Formats: sequence, C-alpha cells, structure tokens
Amino acid sequence: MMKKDEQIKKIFEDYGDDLQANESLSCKARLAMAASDGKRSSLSSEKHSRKILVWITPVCAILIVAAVLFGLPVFGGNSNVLPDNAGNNFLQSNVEYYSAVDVKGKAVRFEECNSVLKLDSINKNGEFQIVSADCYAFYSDSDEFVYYKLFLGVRSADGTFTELKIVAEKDGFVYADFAEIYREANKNDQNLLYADYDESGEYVTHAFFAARNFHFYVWGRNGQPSSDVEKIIKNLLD
Amino acid sequence: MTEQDRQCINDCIVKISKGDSLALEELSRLVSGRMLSVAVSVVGSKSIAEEVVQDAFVRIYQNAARFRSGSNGYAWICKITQNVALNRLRSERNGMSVNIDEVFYLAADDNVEEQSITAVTVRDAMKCCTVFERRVIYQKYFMDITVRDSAKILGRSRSAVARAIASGERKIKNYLNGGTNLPPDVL
Repeated sequence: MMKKDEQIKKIFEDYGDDLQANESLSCKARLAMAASDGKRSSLSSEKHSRKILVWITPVCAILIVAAVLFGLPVFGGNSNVLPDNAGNNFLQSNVEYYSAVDVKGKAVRFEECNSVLKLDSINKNGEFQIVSADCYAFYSDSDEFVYYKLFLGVRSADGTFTELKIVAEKDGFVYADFAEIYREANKNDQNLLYADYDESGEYVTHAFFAARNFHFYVWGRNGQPSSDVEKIIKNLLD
Repeated sequence: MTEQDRQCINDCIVKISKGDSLALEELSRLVSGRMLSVAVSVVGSKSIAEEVVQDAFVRIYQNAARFRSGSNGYAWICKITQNVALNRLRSERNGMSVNIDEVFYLAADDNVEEQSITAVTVRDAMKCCTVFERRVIYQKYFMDITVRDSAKILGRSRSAVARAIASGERKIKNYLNGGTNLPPDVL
C-alpha cells in the first residue's frame, strides 16, 4: 500500500470518526440471519433468548410487539379509530414481492404525493402542519409505479416537532423486507399494526395500515412514546 | 478508526460467518456510518444509500465465510458496499454501464444540510481534484483500498491510479496549506 500523507489521512479520519452509526441499517441482514436454520435452533435456548433481547432490531421488535398486539385494541382500546375498510380483506394475497435493486427512484414534488395519498388529512383538525417534505417515487424496471417514500416534518399546534418516514406502497406490491408485517396483517385481517420501540434513546412509533389503494408503513419519532404520532396516523387513516 | 476497531471488525466478520448476530450488531455500530458514506459517494442520495447499506450488510453476512481473517476487513466491507451501490446505480440507469470514476459525491444531494464540519473540510479540500482523483483519493484514504485494488475496480493501470493519487494529494496538500483552491484544469 502506498504510504499515506499524514495531513490528508487526518482529515479523512476526522471525517470518518464524525459519521454516525445507524444500527438499523443492518436490520435486513439480521432478519436474514434470524431466518436461517442455525438461528432458529439457537432461539430455543434460554441463554440465547436473553441475548436476543439485547440485540433485537427495531424491525424485529416491531414484528414481535405487533404479534403481541394482534387482537388487542389499538390506540388505548378505542376501536372506533379503525377505518371503514377494516375487516374487508383490504390486503391482497397475490402480490408481487420486490427488493431494493428492482426499483429505481426519483424525487417528486410534495403536491404529487399529496394528490394521491391525501396527506393534507394530517392537518384535518388544524392540529398539525407539514413543514418539510422530501418525496420520492419508485418505479419498477418496466416503469410501473411501485411506491412513494416520504420524509415529513410535522409541527403540532403546541410547537412539538415530529419526524415521519412514510413508505406508501401501491396495493399489489410488497417490499421483501416488509413481507412479514404484510403477511401478519393479512392473516389477521388487521388494518393497523402499531408498536413503540426505543432506538438510540429516541422513541420511534411504527405503524402499518392500508388506505386509498395503498398500504402505509410509517415510522414517527418525536422524543416521546406514541403521543402525536398516533394522532397523525389517525388523521391519515380517517 | 483505531487499530483496535479494525481488529474488532475482522473478528466480527469471522463471528458473523458462524451466525453470531451480536457480531453483526457490533459491526453495524463500527462501520454503518462509513458504509453509508461509501454508498452515498456512488449513488448520491441518502435514502437510496441507506437501502444500499442494508443490502451490503446482507452481502457481508452471505460472504463472511469467504473472508480471509488476516486481510483488511474494513476495506473488504467498503468494497462490498461500493459494489452493491454500483449495481444499484446500474439498475437505476436501466442496466447501462456506469464508470465509477465518473461519479463522486461526498454528501447526499438530499442531505446537504446535515454535513459536518469535517465533511465540509474534506469536500472543500477535494474540490480542486478531478472526479477521478477524488475517487482514488477517497478509496485510498477513506476506504483503505490499495492501488492494485483501485486499479482493478476502476479498470485502469496501476501507474495511472498512482499518478492520479499523487496529483490529487499534491492539490489537496496545497489547499490544506493555504494555497489557492483552483479548478482542476488550472492546477
């Protein structure tokens, strides 16, 4: 290897050291590992089960908590928040699974997403305002629309800020990583899976629901469990 | 990144090959930020880069058994990430060929406001370099890739890569030592 110049080496080292780790980026690999036979056999040991509690990923947590939550009332037992189409077999059994390499994305205007997804409903009661939006549309190789990915900043009337990441997938398509969530919801005919978990000290609320010929995967964080994220999701659903 | 971190990365890869999920968690803590930078350097978008890193971790898991424990695990991970990113870019361009030495992003185009001071320093220092020089300098200093491997990845001769590195280093040092940051065709 060529000798490195110390001065240049230092600026790159400083840059590298400043980059923040994002442990959720290995979720897919951890799920793949957990899906292997060896992993499954190790799950039977109590010792390993304890370890799992330590390194379980947010997605794994979602799956487990979601499974626990099935059959339980959501949003504090208020079943009225379920949309009209709940229990109407809103999810499809014949879907096309795809992975990240099967789609290509491009930035789109918020107005385009809003016209399709009715995101303005977040502000239905004047409680919330969308103050920032990064929107992307993803298409298959045959240029068929597959999903929107949105990063929204939502400010509540009391000034609280909530970050939302939303993947709105067109019905008929399912991202392979989300297949478990999708199948669980389908199996139980449940239009809202919902879970809170802690990620690096921040509370993240995750929800899955179907509406407007799309199914939504929502991740929201605002420093507190549930809180505004629940209300925002409820507004989106109504 | 300390030598201890590098050794830890190698240990993690070996453990991952044996199905140790704790090691995957530890590896993620050590390198996910850097992997994201490598992915962004190719695809230019944070959201797409995050998906690339997810896929790269799967690739690392799938190929961990083939990793030679005495080699540079960090560089191995960076190369995997870069390859996955390149594949993604090709996929986005409908299978058209992509020359990695023709693209280089230090920051995601959808995440400019989150750049750290150190990122801005590196970005500004590399402004005077050509895209090819940026790529080889980044591979050498950030990804720990040897000239031989760089040449192989980029499809160039070793001497061409070595010349580009030397030229890029000269320009960056000139900038860091207070010289003028002139465009590449002037320096």
